[in-house]
Amino acid sequence: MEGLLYEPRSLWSIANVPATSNPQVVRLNRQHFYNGSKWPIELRRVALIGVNYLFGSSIPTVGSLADETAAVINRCRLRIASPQNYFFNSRRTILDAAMAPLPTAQPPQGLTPGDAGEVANYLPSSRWGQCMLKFDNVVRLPRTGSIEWWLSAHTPYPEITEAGAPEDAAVRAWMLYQEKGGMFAGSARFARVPLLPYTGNLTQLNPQDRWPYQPDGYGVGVPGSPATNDWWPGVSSFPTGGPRGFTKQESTRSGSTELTDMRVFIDQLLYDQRLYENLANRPAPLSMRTGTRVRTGNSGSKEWWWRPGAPLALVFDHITPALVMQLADPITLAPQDSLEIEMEFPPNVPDQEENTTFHVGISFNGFTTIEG
Amino acid sequence: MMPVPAKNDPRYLDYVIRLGAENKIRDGIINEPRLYFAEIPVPAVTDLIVQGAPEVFYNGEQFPVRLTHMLACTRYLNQTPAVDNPLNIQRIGLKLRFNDQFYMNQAVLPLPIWGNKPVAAPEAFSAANSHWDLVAAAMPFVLAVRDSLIIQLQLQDVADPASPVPVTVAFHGIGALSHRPYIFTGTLELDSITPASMSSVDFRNDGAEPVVITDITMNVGAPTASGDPLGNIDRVRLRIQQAGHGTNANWIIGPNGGGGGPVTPMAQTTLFGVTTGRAVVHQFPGDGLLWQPGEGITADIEALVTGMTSVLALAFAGYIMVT
Repeated sequence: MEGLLYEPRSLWSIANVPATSNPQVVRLNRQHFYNGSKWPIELRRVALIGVNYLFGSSIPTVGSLADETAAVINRCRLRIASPQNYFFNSRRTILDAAMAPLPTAQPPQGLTPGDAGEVANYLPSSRWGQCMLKFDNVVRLPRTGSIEWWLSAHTPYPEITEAGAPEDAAVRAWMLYQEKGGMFAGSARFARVPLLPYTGNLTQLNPQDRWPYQPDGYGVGVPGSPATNDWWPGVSSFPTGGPRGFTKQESTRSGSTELTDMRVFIDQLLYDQRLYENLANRPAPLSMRTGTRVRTGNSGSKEWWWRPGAPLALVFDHITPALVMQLADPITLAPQDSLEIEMEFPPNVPDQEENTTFHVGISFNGFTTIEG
Repeated sequence: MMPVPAKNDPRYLDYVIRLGAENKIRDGIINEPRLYFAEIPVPAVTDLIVQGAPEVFYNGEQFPVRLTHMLACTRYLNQTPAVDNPLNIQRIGLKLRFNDQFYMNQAVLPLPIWGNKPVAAPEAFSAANSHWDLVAAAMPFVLAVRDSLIIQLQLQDVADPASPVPVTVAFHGIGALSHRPYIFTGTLELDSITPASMSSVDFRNDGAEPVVITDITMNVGAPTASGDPLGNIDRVRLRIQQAGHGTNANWIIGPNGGGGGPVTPMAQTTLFGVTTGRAVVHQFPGDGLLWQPGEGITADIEALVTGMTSVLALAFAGYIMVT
C-alpha cells in the first residue's frame, strides 16, 4: 500500500505501591514509556485506573458507589516529562491538573427505583460490560492483510478459590472490529471467546506479561472448572483465519479494509453474582484484570500496538471504566525517546484486597504513522 | 459534514442557525426528527429468531429519512408483566438486514457490543434523564411563529401509581433572528396509566421569530409521595408532534395498540436518549443510513440464554427530509 498508514499505540505501566502511612513518590519504569520502534508516536490521551480492586460495597445505596479505584485515582498526583519537548508538572491532584476528563463511562448502575429488587440484591461490575477503542485514524488493511488480537487469562480473586464454586466458565467475551463500507456504510467482524482464569505460576511468566499480581494467594487451580496455565490461551484470541476468522468475515472481496474501532463486550453477570455471594462485595470489571495485545499481519508495522498484556480498560479508552483525559497538546515521541512519569501518593491510600500493595495503571494512548 | 462545534464555541450559534436555514421553509424543505421503534418480546429459548412488528422499521413516507442512531433497552415491563431488569439487555442478540445486507454481521451480536457512543449522565441523574442533541446527532428543526408541540405521555405501570409521577419535557433552541436562547418546557404529573397530554401552551412559540430547536430533554421524577431521590426514565412512554408548520405528523413511528400498548404509537422515553441516557446507543457510520421511500430494515432478535421474559425496546433515530 502506498501513502501513510496509521496504527494505534499505547505506552503503559502499572505502579505497584506499598501501602504505608507515609507519602510516596513512585517513578515508573522508563522502559515502559520508551518508543523502541522506528516511527514516531503521537500520544493524545492519558488513562488511569486502579487495578486489582473490588468496587465499593454490596450496594445498592447511592453513597456506596464510590469505589476504591476512585479513592486511589483521586489521591494520585502526576508528573510527566518527555525530554526536550514536553513537561507537565502538577503536584496537585489529577482532577485539578487542567486536563479534561473525557466522557467514557457506561451509565452507572446507581439507584433506579424499580430496579433494586430486580437485580437480586447485587449490582454487577458494570451496566453493559463494554470496552471500546476508537482509532484516531482509520487502520487500513490491504486485501490480504489481517490482524491478530489476543485476550489474556485473568487471575481470579483469591476468595473464588476458597468458595470452591467459581463461575468463571460463564465468562464470555465478544470481540469486534468495526469497518467502513457496504450499504450500511459499515460492517463488523466478531469472535466470541471464553475468558479463562489463570492457574499457572505468575513468576514464570514473561515479566512483561506479569502485572501486577503476586503469586501468593492467586492463581490457584480449581478442580473441574475451565482454566488455563497459558497466560495467552489460544481460545481467547480473535483468529486471523478459520471459518469465523478475520479473513473469512470480509464484507467485500475487493480492495482494502478500513477499520474504525474495536470493541469488547464481557458477559460476566454470573461471575459477578457468584463473587457477590461469596464476598458480599461488588466485583470490578474483568477489563481491569484482562490483558490484551494486537498487531497487524501482512501489512503495517507488524509490531504489537502496545507492550503485550496491557489491561483492556487502559488501552481501550473510548468506552472504559478508566479515567481518560485529553492532553492539552499531543506528545510526539520520536524513536528512541522516552517519557518520564512520576506519581505521588499521600499516606494511607486504601487497599481492600491485599492490604500491602495498591496498583495504579497508567497509559498514554495515541497512534503511530508508518510509511505504506 | 463539518465537525459540530462545542456548545461553548463561539461558532456554535452560527453553525446552528445555518443548519436551521437548511430547513428552507420558504422553499418547502422541512427536516423533522423521527423515531422508529418496536417492542419485541424476546423468546424464552435460544436459537429462535424473531422479528417483532415488521411494518414498523419501514419508511412509509414519500420522502427520504436519514437514520443516524440505533437505540436499545429493555421495556420497563417484561412479558409477565413485571418491572424488568435492565441488565437483561446483555442477554439479547441482534442483527439487522437492509436490502439483503447484514449489519453489523450475519451472526447476531449481543446488544452491548453495538454500543459505540458513551452516553452516561452523572451518577445522580442518569437513571431519570434522556437527552437528544439534535445538532450533534441529527438535524435541528424549526419551531415557527405560533407553532406548538403536542406531547402525549403515559405511565407504563401495571396499575395507577400510589402517587403522581412528575414528567418534564424541555426543548432548547436559538432564535433564528435574534440568536437568543429559548427554552420551552412543561411538567405533567401522571397519576394514572391513562395517556395524558401536556399543555400545548407551554410549548408554543409566542415570539416574533422562528426558533431553531437544538435539544430535547426529558426527566421522570420520583413519585411525589415517595422518598426516592430520582425517578426512572424507563417508566414513561411518550410521543411528539409539531402543530403548525412542519409535517404535523407523529414523530414516533411504532406498533399500533399491539400488546396492550396505546393506540397512537408512543415510545419509551429511554429511547430518546441519543446523546445522554440509559439506552445502548449505536451511531451509524458516516452520515448515517439513508432510507428511501419504501425501504425498510428487518431486525432479527435472538435470546442468548434460555428463560428470557424481557421485551426489547429497539429504535432508530434520525430525521425526515421533506422536499
